[in-house]
Amino acid sequence: MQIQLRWVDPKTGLERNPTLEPPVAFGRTFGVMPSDLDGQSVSRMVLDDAQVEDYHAVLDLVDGKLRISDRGSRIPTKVNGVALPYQTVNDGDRIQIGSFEITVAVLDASVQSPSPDFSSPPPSPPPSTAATSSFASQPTRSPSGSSSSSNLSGSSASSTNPLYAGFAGMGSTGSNSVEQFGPDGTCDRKVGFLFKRRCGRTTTEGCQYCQNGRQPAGYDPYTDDYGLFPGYGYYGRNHWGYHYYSNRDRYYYDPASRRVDFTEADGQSFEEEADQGYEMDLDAS
Amino acid sequence: MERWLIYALGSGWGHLNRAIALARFAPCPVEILVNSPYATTVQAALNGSHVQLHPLPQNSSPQSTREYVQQWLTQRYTRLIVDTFPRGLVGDLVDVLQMVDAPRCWIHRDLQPDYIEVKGIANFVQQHYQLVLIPGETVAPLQHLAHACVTAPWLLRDGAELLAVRESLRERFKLDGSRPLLMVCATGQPNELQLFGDIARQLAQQFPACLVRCLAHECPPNCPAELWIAHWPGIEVLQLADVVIGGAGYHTVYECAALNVPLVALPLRRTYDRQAERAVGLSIPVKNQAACIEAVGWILNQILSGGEGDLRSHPSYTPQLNYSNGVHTAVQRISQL
Repeated sequence: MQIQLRWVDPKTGLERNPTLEPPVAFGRTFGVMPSDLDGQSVSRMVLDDAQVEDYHAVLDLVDGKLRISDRGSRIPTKVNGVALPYQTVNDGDRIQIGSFEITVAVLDASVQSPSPDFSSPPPSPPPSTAATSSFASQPTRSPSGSSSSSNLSGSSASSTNPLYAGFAGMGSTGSNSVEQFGPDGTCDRKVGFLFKRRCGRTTTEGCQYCQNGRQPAGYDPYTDDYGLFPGYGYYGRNHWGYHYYSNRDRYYYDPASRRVDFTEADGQSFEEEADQGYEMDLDAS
Repeated sequence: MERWLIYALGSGWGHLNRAIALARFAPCPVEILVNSPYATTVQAALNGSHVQLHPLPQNSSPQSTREYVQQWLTQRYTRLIVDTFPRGLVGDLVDVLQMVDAPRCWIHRDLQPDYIEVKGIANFVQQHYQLVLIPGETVAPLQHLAHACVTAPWLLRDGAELLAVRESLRERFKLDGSRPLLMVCATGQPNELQLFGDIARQLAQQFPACLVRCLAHECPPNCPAELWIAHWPGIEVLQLADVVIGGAGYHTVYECAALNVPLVALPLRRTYDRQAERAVGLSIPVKNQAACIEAVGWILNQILSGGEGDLRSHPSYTPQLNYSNGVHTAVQRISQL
């Protein structure tokens, strides 16, 4: 489904009318809004207004209908003047977020590709795993002490990027041949130290967990570390993992499934440390 | 009316030259946003062409850069081409790319994998760009993206263009070809130029049978003035060299590779670029000045003792410059967007 949103920025007076495909997140801070939800890329609309939360609301398609869900904001999201935790949005409806009034136009419910127009072939997902092997995961424990083991499966890792072998025949479209990637184009490998989670990266390059795709499935770079931290996996008040667990909402914790997925938050959590030097200097190259 | 906008912010020569290499063959007027200190010099050489450089205002801050760039991006263009930094050099494109109606292409020069991970570059590119062009980079981390297209390296001149100016440049810079020419290519940050000035001076002392020249925008510290030459684009004079000594930036490496001139490279540390990775296989990488002089001596021995050296030193020798210039494929792919 394609939708067009239209609003006028109250501060600048500039009109915006992006054409998008749900899900669409609204908020004040780009980096806090998720880049994907359930494997779908999220269009993140930044609304610069003190009344808007960092991640205020999300407009998504639920059972074929547009639905906006408020994220528990101080000033609730309204549709045509009505504030509810979530509500259906129809063609022509007005969504109120802070001082922004956004008009929704449903362009074509049958169109699947997002705007802007792609005249080149659409990206194809990398090949799914042909021969998967069961993925030995570390058990994780909830504060109550119950233990669970993930059934996520992965595949044997292969070498990563095909090295370029001369300039002859260049101009061809590249393809992803990394076998550990799932049908959605993201990595199936289970990673993380405190909370094991699906990797979700779109490339093995620079990945510390699989070391650029060189390590086999099941390899855990923290095996030795776990031996040094016998309290690993326990998140009760007297354990050192307590604060990590109690702050789990920051890591996109799903209370229904009790899954923690901070693939997106990974970068954010460590951004202050690891990000130094990036996007700070106009003289860099 | 067709009009392309190229975002080429990034200091030094690389972003500037790569953007111009592409723009020269574009089928329409091209505006290029740059912050290279060399933009004014280059614009003078481009006068009368369809390529217009727009340098960032002096003393810009990251915040003022954002505002400046965003003003440009809200203009009407038929293509937006972003070099190296898909989110912008200081994240200045993040909030405005979705407002750009024109099809968007990202030029993927090599990048530090850590930057790619921390800033979620792969996801960002997939979300915001319809085409990824990789200009010959063998180590580009995101070359596996489904909409990526690898081309030959992008060069400022085709082979035929170089041959057309070969003799006039030889005459202008008094490079008669009777002696091996060692060309030091002094690029990089201003505080790095002295290294190349030192190397040029030492080469001239150590190899008196050779002609030594230092190609630089300004005469580097410690470089004897008689060794310094200034010319843009550098590839036009590099074609006359028997050995090139320089960093391992994009153009130094790929221009030497295209010209089939041996390069002794001192990879320089960069925030985003991995010069050491690029140098492997396309140059003789060295770590310091002493190793550089030693490597030049080794190459000279090879040249002077082999048939190739005799051939190149003949006054009538004309090289076969039939390399592939990736800008032609790139222009074609961008036009098809």
